[in-house]
Amino acid sequence: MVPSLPSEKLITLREAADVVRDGDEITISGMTFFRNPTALIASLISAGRKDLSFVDREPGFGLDVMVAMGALRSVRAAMATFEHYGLSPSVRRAAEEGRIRYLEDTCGAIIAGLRAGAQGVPFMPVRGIIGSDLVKVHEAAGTWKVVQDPFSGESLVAVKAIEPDVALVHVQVSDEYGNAVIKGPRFEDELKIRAAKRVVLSAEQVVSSDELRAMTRDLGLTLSATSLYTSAVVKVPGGAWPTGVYGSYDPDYAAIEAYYKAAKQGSAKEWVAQNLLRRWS
Amino acid sequence: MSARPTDLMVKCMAGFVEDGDYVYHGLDSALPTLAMAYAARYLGRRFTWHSVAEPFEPDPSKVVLRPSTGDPSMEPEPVGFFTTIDSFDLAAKGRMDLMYFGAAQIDEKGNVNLTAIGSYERPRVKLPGGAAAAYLFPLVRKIVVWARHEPRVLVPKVDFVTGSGEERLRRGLKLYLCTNRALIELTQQGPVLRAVFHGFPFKEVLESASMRITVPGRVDVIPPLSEGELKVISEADPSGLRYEEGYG
Repeated sequence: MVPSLPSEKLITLREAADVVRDGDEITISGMTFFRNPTALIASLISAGRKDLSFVDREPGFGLDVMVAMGALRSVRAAMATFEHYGLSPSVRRAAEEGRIRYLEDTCGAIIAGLRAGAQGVPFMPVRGIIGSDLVKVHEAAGTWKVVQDPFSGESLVAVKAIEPDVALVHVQVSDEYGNAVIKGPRFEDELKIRAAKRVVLSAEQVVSSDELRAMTRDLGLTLSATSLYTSAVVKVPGGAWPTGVYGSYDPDYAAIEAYYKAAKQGSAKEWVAQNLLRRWS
Repeated sequence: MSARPTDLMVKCMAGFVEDGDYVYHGLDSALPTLAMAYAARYLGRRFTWHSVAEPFEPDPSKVVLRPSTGDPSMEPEPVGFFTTIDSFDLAAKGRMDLMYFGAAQIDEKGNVNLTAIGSYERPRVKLPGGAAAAYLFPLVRKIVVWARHEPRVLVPKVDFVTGSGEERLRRGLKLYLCTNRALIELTQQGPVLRAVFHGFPFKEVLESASMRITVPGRVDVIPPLSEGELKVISEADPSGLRYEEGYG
């Protein structure tokens, strides 16, 4: 017998853009060249979403595309990189020209902020960081504060909770209700799902709840998202291209390098229009 | 094929891996990945291999470098996946033994800059960001920084303190710098030259830095790599991605 379930949340890629409003703070799944929700990003760009704030630990391709297309007004990240290829080309140029507000963070603090957001507490203390000039930057921004452990007196950094308006998360498998499984590396995606006010999943595979039940039973898979968090589900096989999805496809390094070269030469918009927007239009 | 300075950097960085260590590498970390492979395969060190890619304890003999060191396919046959969240929690508990960081600038106090050249507000060059550097500098038992041996990189004072060497050294934690010329230890008394690469005279090494480096009574020479050593490194990087990092 199937127990009662929340409503189905399957929507189209075009409808997914409506979950995000101009001015929202968003976060995306994955890291540099892995499990970026690029189809959802293309949908936001096609819908003309703008003035978005972006927060993530170590973004790469997805962030650079959004900056190149003028969708963001601010970025908060511990690192933005194209790794072997070089600095994140559009992020670098926009930051140097003052076109985006860039708040550099550090991994442990981003994780702590998302943890606080996920747990419903206003801040999270974190060790390390003391002595870095980032402390002054964040105290001025109102995102960190140096506090004393009330028990030992140790100086710690209190990181204000990070609660993005929307998390865009690409997963391998979801049912229509937003119960979903991330296989392989999970990064902070489970915290992002719990910390965000709204969650849009794009999934390589959308299965029935009975099929998901069988998969979790037979393979011992754990749910990374449940229907309690998920606002919408979009079925998008290949929806992280050119970034890779563990167990499904490797990063398309040739395409990533081609984008990097185009962005360095100032033609990122053309590359995105021809390769990403057209693919998902 | 003969070894190049990049290969000597790999050897230099591998020397800090000790039996029983929990060793972690981050993104854009080709040389640390190769150093870990060399430590496991050539030096026979038995340590726990982990990284930002999240495979836990992969088979070091099957590690092959890719353009992203966050690529889980680069580190095959792990026991399973273990998140970076978990690894950084271990660091906070003082249980991460060795981590590697690149640096655009490193100064006499051991501070590293990965944030900006020029001012933070209007950078002349916006760097990628320090990733975990700020967080981990006061926490990890041994940190090895790798950098180009140039006056604009080895500086008296960094433009921005991303990771605080000063705080790290105050806590008694070890900090080393492997350049493409030499091994330098950062101490509370300043940088100390510990070894130079074969073929690079002291004078050139010292003059290629704008930071003041103390030369102690004994400075080692890191000898050229044997064919066996180079073979191990090349097997983990058959396409020579490491030479595109710009270290020679």
